[in-house]
Amino acid sequence: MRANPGGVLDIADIIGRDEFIARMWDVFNWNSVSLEADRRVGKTSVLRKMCAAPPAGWEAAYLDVGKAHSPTEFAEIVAAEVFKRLTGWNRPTVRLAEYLSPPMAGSVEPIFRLTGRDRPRDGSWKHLLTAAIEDLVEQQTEVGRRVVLLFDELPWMLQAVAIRDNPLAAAEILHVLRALRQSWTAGRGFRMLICGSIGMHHVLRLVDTYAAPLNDVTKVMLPPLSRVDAIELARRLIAGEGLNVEPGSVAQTIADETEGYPYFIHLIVSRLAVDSLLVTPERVRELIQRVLIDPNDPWELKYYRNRIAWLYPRDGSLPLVLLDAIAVAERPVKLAELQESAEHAGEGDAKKVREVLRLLVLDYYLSRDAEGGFAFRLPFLRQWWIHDRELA
Amino acid sequence: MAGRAFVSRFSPNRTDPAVLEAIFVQRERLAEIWLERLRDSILFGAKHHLLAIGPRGCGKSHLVALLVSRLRKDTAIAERVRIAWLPEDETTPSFWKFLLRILRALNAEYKDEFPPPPRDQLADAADDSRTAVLTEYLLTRLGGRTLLVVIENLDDAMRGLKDEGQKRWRAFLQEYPVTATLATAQQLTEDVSDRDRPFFGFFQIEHLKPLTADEALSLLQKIAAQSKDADLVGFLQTPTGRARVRAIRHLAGGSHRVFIILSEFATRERLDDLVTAFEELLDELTPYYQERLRWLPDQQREIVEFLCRQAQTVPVKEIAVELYLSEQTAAAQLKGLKEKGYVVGASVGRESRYELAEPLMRLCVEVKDPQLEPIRLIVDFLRVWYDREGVEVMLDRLPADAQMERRYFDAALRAYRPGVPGPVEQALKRDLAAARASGDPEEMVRVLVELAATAEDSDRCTAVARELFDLGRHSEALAAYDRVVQLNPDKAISWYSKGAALYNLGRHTEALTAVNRAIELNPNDSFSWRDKGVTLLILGRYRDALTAVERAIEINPNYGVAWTLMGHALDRLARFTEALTAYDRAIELEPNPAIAWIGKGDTLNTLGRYAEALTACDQAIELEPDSAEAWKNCGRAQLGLGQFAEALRDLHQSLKLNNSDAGAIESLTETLILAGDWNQAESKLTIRFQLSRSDVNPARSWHLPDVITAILRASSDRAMWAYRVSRLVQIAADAKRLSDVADSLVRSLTRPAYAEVSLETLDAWAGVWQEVAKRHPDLSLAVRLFGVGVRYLKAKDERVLLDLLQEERAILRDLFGLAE
Repeated sequence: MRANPGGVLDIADIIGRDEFIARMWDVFNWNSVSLEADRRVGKTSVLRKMCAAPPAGWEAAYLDVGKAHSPTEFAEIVAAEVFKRLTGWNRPTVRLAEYLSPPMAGSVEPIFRLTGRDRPRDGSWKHLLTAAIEDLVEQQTEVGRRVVLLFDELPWMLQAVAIRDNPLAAAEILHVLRALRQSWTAGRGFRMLICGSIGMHHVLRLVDTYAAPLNDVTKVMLPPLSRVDAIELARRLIAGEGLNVEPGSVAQTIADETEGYPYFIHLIVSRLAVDSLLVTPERVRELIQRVLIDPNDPWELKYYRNRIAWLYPRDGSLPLVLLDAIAVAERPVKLAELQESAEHAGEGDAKKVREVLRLLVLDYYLSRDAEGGFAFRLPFLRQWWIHDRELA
Repeated sequence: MAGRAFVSRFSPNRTDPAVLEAIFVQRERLAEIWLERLRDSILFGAKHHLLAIGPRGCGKSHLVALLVSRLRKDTAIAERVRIAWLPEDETTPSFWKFLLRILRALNAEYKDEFPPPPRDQLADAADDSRTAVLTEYLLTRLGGRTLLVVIENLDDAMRGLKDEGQKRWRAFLQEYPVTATLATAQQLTEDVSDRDRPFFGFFQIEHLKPLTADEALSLLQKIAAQSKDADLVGFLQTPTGRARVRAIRHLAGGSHRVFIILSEFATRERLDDLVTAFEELLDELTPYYQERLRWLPDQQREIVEFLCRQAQTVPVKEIAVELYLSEQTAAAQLKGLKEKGYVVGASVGRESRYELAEPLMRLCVEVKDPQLEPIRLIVDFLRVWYDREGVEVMLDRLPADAQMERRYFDAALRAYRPGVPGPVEQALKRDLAAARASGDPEEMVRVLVELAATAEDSDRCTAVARELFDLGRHSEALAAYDRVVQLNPDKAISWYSKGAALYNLGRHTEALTAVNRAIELNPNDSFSWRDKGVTLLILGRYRDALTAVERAIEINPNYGVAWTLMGHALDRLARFTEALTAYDRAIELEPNPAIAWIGKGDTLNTLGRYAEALTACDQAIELEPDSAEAWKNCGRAQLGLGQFAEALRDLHQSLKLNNSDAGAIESLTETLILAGDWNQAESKLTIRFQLSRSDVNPARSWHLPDVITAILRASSDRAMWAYRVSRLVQIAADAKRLSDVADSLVRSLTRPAYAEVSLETLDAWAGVWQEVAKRHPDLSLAVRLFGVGVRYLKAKDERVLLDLLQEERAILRDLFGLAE
């Protein structure tokens, strides 16, 4: 197994997620899911693995809907995917039949395709979407299966619709999906998973809906790999790349330094492969140090600094004050100490401090331990922060 | 130059793949790994997306062409993949047009396997429907194979696709995992590096580093070898060749393209091709750099433009003053520019200095019309590639109508200014400073050697040679001094220094020639006479050495070192009393007369005046407690006085300071034998014979004869002699050093020990050696000489020597100091 940071992994190479996937299928028994995680934790890989081997009684389809930029396009993408599954169904496709086009040259199968002329009039996308899902659910119910659609990059699509069309149209998609989840005809045989590269909370703010269109789904956070799985991944990648490794704890070091983020494990091993030297734990740490001060910022850590102003426009310097205080501390910092630091910096509003800390956790800067102490979620992010902010 | 290999400057895919392989440098490991990644993508489920980033001309396309060629060559792989190598500079306004580009590229490569898609299904359709049709069409035609999209200038394509197209492409790659990507871009753009963009973290990014000076040299050597250009290959192996490549590296950065162009003209005499080649390069690069400048905010742009006009690194303070900025603002802007890869910085002490990351960016402020004024870059190239004389020769040879070339050579000539370091020297000095800062001694020596080889000024070259000499790199120092005397053959000091380098290399005869030349040029230089004396001493020409140091003293009567050398010469000539006088004079004059005290101690030991020798050695040790020689002489004095315990202590101390002094080991062995510790003595003998011959001191410090006589003195038991002599001989024989024993046995005849024993004892002793010689025929001659010598000692009658052949006789006569 070779390092493949950012690329598409072979399903067999997606390791350490079996337990999480089993739990997801368990959740689907009673509800749909909104999957949350920082970028590059491996959401898409999890979805692809779920889709590749659903348990008995489930029919799963993976759809990257980030490419859709209008409600109609979204409906068509879903319908096209459904149509693939309806092929060969012995019952006439009552609801979708009106959308079929003749076969392409060289093919005998009719295809699901809408040309400019055939495109449904404005608003009928809801009908198309509902028809497609109801057809599929009906078909699968007959063979004792329930349907789950894995919508990757849904927030991007909603953002695009809200910006290009209007926020109401985006809200309407969410409402239609909610209606489908709760429908008497389809709801019981239908689940969905939604996730994406940007947090749903940002999209909901943009869509500006008061109807809480996702309050019926279960929010699940995809964690980084457990330490054991992270070590196993590092070990397999080291073996796959044929690295010259000093016997001992290189895999553990990689797992610990990356806090189990699979992307960074792939990235580090891929870098070590190019360097072609004897790999020791020190060398791994040295590599990370080198990356942290590289002017090219290969891990794009500047993003964590630059987006502060955008994420917390009304909070002035408070986020920076808090992050600085946490960065220089050798152990997790308690709320009281952080409030003291904030007060010292002229930011004495205790409520505001608590709120900003909550958001910093949600936005993947920080994690909070069982005793309530705040620390950087990623050890190397903390190191970079110290370097970039020139903290002693 | 015979049959130059065709290496396309701009399109490596037009170059023969075999040539691309042959001239590939710097990125072998990366190519190997990426090839494996692509193979994996083709044969298995994983799909890799690879992106090489680097400025124009840095070899991105070479890497891509090489990888594609290797994939195509592997038939098992080639069957499983379809490669869409997208032509450069086509616009990509939407994702469906991107799919069309891919299909067109596949059609160009695989013809009927990928016929053009049906137009009727695309006409009048909405863009997303076109995407669906083309996706379906592409997947069907691929038939389960992997698609490898090779795309250069990915940044342009991303810009064209915009957010919507990028999301569609990303979705395509995720939904249909059949595609791998091999891409290049000139810089890291937000489209792949910003976390809010679809392709964030998607590509495995490799920032291609510019060529180092060594890699540039390697590239040129490979091209030259490929073109069978023996002249260029040879030139590039010289320090001058290396220095010039290094200077060009500074001038133009580590751009592959620049060096490929350079390889074309390096050994040509006409410039027209070079100018044309560079004009093409400038035409390509100028808009690229200007565009990059335009992207910058005003203050940053101003700073870059300022740096374009500078020939060296500039401190922040100076940048701030020149541009009317506060130092804080300048530092903040420079930090931003560094992050964007426009500048590089280094700290010298507490001062940060900056320069352009890509020296070719200077083109932005260059003259735009080469017809009006020569392009500075080419003029600088000429100054690097030819020395002043070379430029003058070229100018003389130019035909009357070669106006353009005359303009360039004139400009190069005008740029030479007396006393001002040229571009090669400037580049080397920067690299020298960098090597010093990084503490890399080998790089330091390399740069110093190149500085010497290209020096135009004998004083500067002398300084370099001296530094090499001080670093103990005598061979390199010698080459530098050769250059010094070449630049100024009439300077005595240069010849003198060359002599010193030769002396340190053990090339004493040549050293003598050099120092003689120094004396010819300046007969009144006492240092040269001193060095001549030293060299003659080493060569064993003691009388001539004495004459030389006498001359040094004549010039400078208070020259203590010369008096010490005089002591050495007189000692070697066995004029011991005069030697002692010379040493005493040296002790009066020298601020640190340790060596004179050592010499005096040695002479006194020879004279058997051990108590005085001990005093002299104590003086030497007080001045130089770490002198192994002083401790050894001390030990020998103690031995002479019969103080074995003290002798052992001093000799051990001597060997602690220098464990390869054969004389000290021999003295220690002698002491151990006399002190009754034969076993220890034997182990020291083993060590002594393991020392390489060069470490064995000849003549004065040769104490193996004393070891031999010590065996005699330590016992009166003939059987004990026989055992110990046979052990000594066996140990020497095992080490293949029997000749040392043979020589020492004969030399032992002059030792006072034999005068102190009875005639019967002497006979018995000689008999022991005759017995041993029966088992070791290589000793026969020595034992025969020894036997005759013993008879002479007994009879004191020269006639006994007549038993020997004439040459054999001469040896003993010389040994006993008998006149012919």
